[in-house]
Amino acid sequence: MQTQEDLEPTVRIRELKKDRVNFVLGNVDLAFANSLRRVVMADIPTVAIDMVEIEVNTTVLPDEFIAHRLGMVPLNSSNCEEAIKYTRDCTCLAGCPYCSLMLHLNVACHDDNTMDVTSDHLDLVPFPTDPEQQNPEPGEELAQRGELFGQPVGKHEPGVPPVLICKIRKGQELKMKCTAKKGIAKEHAKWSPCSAVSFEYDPHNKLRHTTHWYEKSIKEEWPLSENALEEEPPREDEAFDFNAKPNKFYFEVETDGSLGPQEVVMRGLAELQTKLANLILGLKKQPDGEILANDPQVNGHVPAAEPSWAGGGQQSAWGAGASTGGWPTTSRGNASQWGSGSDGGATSGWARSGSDGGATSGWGSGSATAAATTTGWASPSRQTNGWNS
Amino acid sequence: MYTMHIGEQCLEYLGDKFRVILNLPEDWSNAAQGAWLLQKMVLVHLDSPRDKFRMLIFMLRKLYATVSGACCADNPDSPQHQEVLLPGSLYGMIIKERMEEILNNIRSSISTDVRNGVAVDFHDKRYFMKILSKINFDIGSKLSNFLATGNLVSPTGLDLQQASGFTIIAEKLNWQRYISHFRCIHRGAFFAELKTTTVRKLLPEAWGFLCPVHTPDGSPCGLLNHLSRTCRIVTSPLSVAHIPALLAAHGMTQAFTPSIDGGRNICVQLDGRVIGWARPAVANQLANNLRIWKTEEKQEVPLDLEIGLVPESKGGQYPGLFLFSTRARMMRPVKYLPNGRDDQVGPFEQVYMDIACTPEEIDPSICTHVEHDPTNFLSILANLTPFSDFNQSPRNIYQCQMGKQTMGTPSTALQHRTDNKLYRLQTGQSPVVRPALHNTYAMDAFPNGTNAVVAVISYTGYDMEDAMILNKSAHERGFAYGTVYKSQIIDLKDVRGASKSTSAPSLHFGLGKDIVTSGEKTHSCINILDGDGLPGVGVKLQPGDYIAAYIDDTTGRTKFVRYKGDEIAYVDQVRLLGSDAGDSELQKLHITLRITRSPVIGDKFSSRHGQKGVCSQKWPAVDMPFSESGLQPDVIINPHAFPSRMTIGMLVESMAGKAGAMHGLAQDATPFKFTEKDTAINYFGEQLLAAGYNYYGNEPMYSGITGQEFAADIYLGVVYYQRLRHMVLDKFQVRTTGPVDPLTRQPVKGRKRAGGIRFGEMERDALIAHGTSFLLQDRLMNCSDYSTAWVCRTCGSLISLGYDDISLGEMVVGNSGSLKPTGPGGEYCRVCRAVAEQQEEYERQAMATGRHLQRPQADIRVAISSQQVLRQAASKGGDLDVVAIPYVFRYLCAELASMGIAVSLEIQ
Ligand SMILES: [Zn+2]
Ligand SMILES: [Zn+2]
Repeated sequence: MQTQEDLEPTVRIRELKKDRVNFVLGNVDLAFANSLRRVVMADIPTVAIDMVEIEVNTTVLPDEFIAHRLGMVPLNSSNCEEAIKYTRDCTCLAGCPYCSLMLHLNVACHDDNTMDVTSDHLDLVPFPTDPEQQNPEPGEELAQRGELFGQPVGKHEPGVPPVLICKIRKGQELKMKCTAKKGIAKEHAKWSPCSAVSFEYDPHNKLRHTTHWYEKSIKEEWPLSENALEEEPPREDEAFDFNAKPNKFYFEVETDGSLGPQEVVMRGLAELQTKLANLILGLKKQPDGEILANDPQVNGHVPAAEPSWAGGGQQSAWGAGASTGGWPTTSRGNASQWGSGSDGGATSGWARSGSDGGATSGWGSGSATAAATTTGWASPSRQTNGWNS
Repeated sequence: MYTMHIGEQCLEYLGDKFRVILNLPEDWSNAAQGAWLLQKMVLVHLDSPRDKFRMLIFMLRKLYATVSGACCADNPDSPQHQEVLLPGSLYGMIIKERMEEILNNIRSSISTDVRNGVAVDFHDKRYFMKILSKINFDIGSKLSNFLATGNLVSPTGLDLQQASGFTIIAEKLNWQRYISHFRCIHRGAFFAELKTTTVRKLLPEAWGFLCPVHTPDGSPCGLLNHLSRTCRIVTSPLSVAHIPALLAAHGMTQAFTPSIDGGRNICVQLDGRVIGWARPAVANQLANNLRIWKTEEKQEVPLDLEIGLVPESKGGQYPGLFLFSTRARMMRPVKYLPNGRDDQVGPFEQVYMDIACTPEEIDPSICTHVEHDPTNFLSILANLTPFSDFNQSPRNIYQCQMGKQTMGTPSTALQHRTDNKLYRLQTGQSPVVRPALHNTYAMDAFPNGTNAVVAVISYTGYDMEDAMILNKSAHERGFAYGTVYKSQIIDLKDVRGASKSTSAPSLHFGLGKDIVTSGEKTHSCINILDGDGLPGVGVKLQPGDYIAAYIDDTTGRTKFVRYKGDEIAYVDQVRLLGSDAGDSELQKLHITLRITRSPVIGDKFSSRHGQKGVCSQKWPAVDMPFSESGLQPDVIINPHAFPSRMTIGMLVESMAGKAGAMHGLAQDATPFKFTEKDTAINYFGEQLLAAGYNYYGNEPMYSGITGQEFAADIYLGVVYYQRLRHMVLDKFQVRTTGPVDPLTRQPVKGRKRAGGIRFGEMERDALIAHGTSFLLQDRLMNCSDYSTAWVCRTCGSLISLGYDDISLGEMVVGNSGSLKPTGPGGEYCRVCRAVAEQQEEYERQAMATGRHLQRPQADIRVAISSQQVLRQAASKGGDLDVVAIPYVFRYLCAELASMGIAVSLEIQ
């Protein structure tokens, strides 16, 4: 009999729809399956509105709230890997057509009825280039973009209700310029292509990883999931195989539309591959100069040297994990920004309120005054002069 | 013995005795004064002397009965015998007193004129005008002062037990807090100081009138109560003049009957007036008749008439038929069973009535009434707690507190409000699980929280001790995002340099010519202020930024007003305040500032079941546990939050919320809807089963980190979470160095002053117990008031340092011509030098006379270890050492010295 290790991993797609894919992953380790789930959730780049320049906002909602809502609108990001650069990897200063997208929102209500401002009002416009600034080296990104790239998902598509941003009444106006950038969900949830990733193994609990607590009857109180049909129910007299390992994983990846479900899974696998390649590279005791020089994938980017990763609240745990080996990473910069939780400058500025700045402002001034009042009493000689003389 | 035989004589006697203090016109006869005394001072609610007499007799009878033990004393703490002091009555009394004062002033000013011989002509209008113009008629100022301060300024005190604390500010923190201000009743400041707890006790008489749940814990507990939901207060007078005749026609013996057997008849009273007598059976019949009449609107008996029939008993309350129609009584609606009509009952009569709580428990032989709703005895807030009947009772009390501290939706017209401080939850939701009254009170228009997916699991340890873990992605998607609105008012009249004259202001909003608005030297205020000197709407303000600019006419220069807060704020609105006519120059601004308060670690949250907790981590979504469907909790709380607190209502809410979310239902969470036979668990369990979930709301979950299934299934559901206004940004206190107290040189206290947190005696004890002496020294000395001081080795004095300037190589020569000894820096001990000089003097005198004298020595000695001595004195001259001591110790030595106590240190 063949052992599990000998079998090739299998993927059986049970259902593929526009916004979801349901598949069974077989003959892989639990750790691998979970890694795929994690990568799909948090590491796949998409584009989302990241900076909003507000010109007019006479609605009832405050600026930062509208900016936050805009950031949440899913934008079409297919082939994001090739079609757009990270701004931090780009040669431009603050944004260029190769690393940013520009969307305009310009709505005013002249009607007596309440008007809905929706994602359909977001218009993708060519990114303005600054004539004074030296144009960055032209990339081939623009050619890789699809027709809909950067458009709000489902815009003008029949049967797809748009995302409501705000409601305005007569005389109110909303005018803003939104800059969309590429990012991953580790940095901010708005860059996640998935709305939920369903993950299950061992529906009959044959492995006894869990215990189903019940009061009267386990059958009546615990309905079996649909995936239970895929596996043999345990026989009454079946002996417990304590060596068995899970090897069939039921996935359902549901996306918000920014990426197709197929692309999400494929990119997830590719991403996982890249990460593992980096790990192997990092585990080599001393990276060969030869390898470094020959491999175009590697550019010697060392995350440990990056100062930003310590500042990002709980994200710093990521940074620490990622940088244990201090190995170089790829130019795609996946690992390099593991810890950079706070450098994204998220749309509204409230995604990064965790630990930066804010808290310290209260007593910064206090210490300055303290310095003034406390001078002189620590030194014995001046003490003598001031006291009893 | 008795010289007074007729009433007239008695009145004359009373008038004669009380004339001195009554302050009535001098030409009134004694009898008139006596009549006035009885009229205004004795049983003032009764007009006729005959009624007063009957009432006094009744009181005597009751007194005898009480003393003999035939009846018990009435309990003044029971709501049965209480009525409410309404603000309207209080205002009325204040106005009345002020009017009396005015009239007295007029009278006294006229009588002064009479006494001084000024021509007083009552037919002369001009004279009256002159008198009236002297009098201050301002009633409004007195009332507005009362409303602003809550202090009652009154010569008589208006027979109230307190003189202050009558008003509070109706805070619009959220709708719940606001409505509570208008439904609360305070027993009085006097009772707050009382040591006994009897006045705070929840008595059964309060049922249906005062909410048993909605009272604060702590010092005002039981004194500050809230009206039950359906309880109302009678505020209009009732027409009851015909009632005595009506009752007499139906068998009541009238009060003027020459002979009544007091042993067999009970008294019938209306508003404290004896209107007749009746046999107990007749009284019972009368009471029944009245109740039928009033519920059926017959015989013009008003519905709000309270019919208190106290039956005869042995040692119980004094019997009688007591009718009440006055205002300020509490009344509540119940259903009258004989005719199925609405009846209003009061606290006095309710004690002797049989009101069933639910239609099921009506016993036809006993019950006369039934509650409209079993939840009517709860206040509005207590009614808004879902499944409160499942919870341990203190938790419902806590929820009533926390509901009032929630960041919610204070108003739907925030754009038009000018409150000093407002909290707003940006993403409020309608709860999935809500009592029916949630809709009645339109709470959906004022949402107070967010539906959160809650997992009850001990995960990562960051949910210990009531902390809760927030899902970082949920937070990034806007969970519990809040905003604080603050106001800053800028009035140029109050600014320094404002002209005192009212005609032409010397300060004007705007930017002067001295401000460079463009080019390289552009003034930094241009980023914030417009040309009119006002901030632009939407501008971001850092602490200390300019918020407005004005030009001073006298200097011609532009001055700035700064933003006072210590947080980043955005200008939300700028209001120009002017006069009503709008024709005066702009001198006053109201600026609404918006401060964003995204939830951060340390902010407080709570469910609606008194389960509060602090956010301890924002955990990345990939690391959060997840269910088979990929559902991740927004909030993780620890299972230990439940066993001791027994908030089963929260567990039920979690199940109900989950089922409601799956089936798209708004679940009814009204208490007392389920029974032992028809349980909530079964109802929602079936719903969960139908949605494909476990019957008890559990779910197998997987670790987000390893992907492995947890060994136990996890309780996962949807619970409505409130964000409380206590935020860490308002509370954190930290300091390394900072301001110190000038006297003791120890760090000051107080968050506002960048002070420290007291390291007190108990903390000190803890460090001693741990033997961490270096830490102890670090806290109490090095980081506090470390100082160095010179101490004299010879006499041990800390405060006797003297100093000779020998820096230029000079030597100081004393009056005896010898060289004065000093240390290397010129320091010396003044005591020792004085002693030495004296000694020298003595020796010189001894040499002259041959006598010897002793040298004085200090009494108290404190041993200082040699480690503390930083520097050894070099020469024998000064003999001083530098030691490290807490500065406050030197202060102590100086204080003791001023009292004539010397402290001497021994240095080894
Ligand atoms: Zn660029
Ligand atoms: Zn001395």
